[in-house]
Amino acid sequence: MHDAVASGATHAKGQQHPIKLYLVVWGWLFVLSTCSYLVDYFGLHGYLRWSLILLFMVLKAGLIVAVFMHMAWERLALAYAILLPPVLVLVFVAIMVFESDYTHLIRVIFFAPPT
Amino acid sequence: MTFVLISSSGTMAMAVNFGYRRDRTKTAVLMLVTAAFGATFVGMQAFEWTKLIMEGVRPWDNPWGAAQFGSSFFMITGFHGTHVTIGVIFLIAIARKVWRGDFDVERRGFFTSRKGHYEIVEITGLYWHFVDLVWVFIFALFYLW
Repeated sequence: MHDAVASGATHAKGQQHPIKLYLVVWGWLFVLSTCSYLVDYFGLHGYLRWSLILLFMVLKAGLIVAVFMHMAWERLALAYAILLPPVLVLVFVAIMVFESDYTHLIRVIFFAPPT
Repeated sequence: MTFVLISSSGTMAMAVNFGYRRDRTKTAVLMLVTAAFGATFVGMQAFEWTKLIMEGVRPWDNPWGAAQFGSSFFMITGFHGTHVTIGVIFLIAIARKVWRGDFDVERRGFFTSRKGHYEIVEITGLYWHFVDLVWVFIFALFYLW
């Protein structure tokens, strides 16, 4: 019983960070959101637009996961266990995107309706 | 809408922090502020849906392009909005427990009859941040793309 209380107390100290850290991250999230709105506002197009949108998206997601969800203070093994599977899915998606032209070509060659 | 949800994540993160410090009042108040932001978000989403439906967007049709946009937009934002709504209810329930001091006296829960701990604040926070995280992706890929 006493052990349980003691471990509870130590755990309670586990995620003690200064409020300032959260406010700074909050500010950065605002800045990044404003940036992604500005991408739309200035009407950027093409690869510049898409890469900027994805960049701001990934930065915001990273800040939320790392600081707000306390991933930065977790064990490395846990971080890998959570982050690696989605990355692998993205790799798979990328492979499928690269292959799509080839698949489309095959379909056009062999399944094109006779004209 | 993005700023509303990001702000709610900020207040939630601070609520979790005060939860670890066992500061009941600040935790409960910040959780209620988070819930208010969440409710605001759902309200804005209701307005947005109304506007889009007035303009002729349907789950099976979209006047500006591919019909699939309508179905995926309503399904994805709808599921997200549902989760925000559930989160607001959950936040209010947990904030009430924090306010009442259930976790200091380890009062037993209503459904589970197990003792409550402040960890539930962190768990609620994780749920809420994940909902915000999903919105980051929805916002980038649906609204800006």
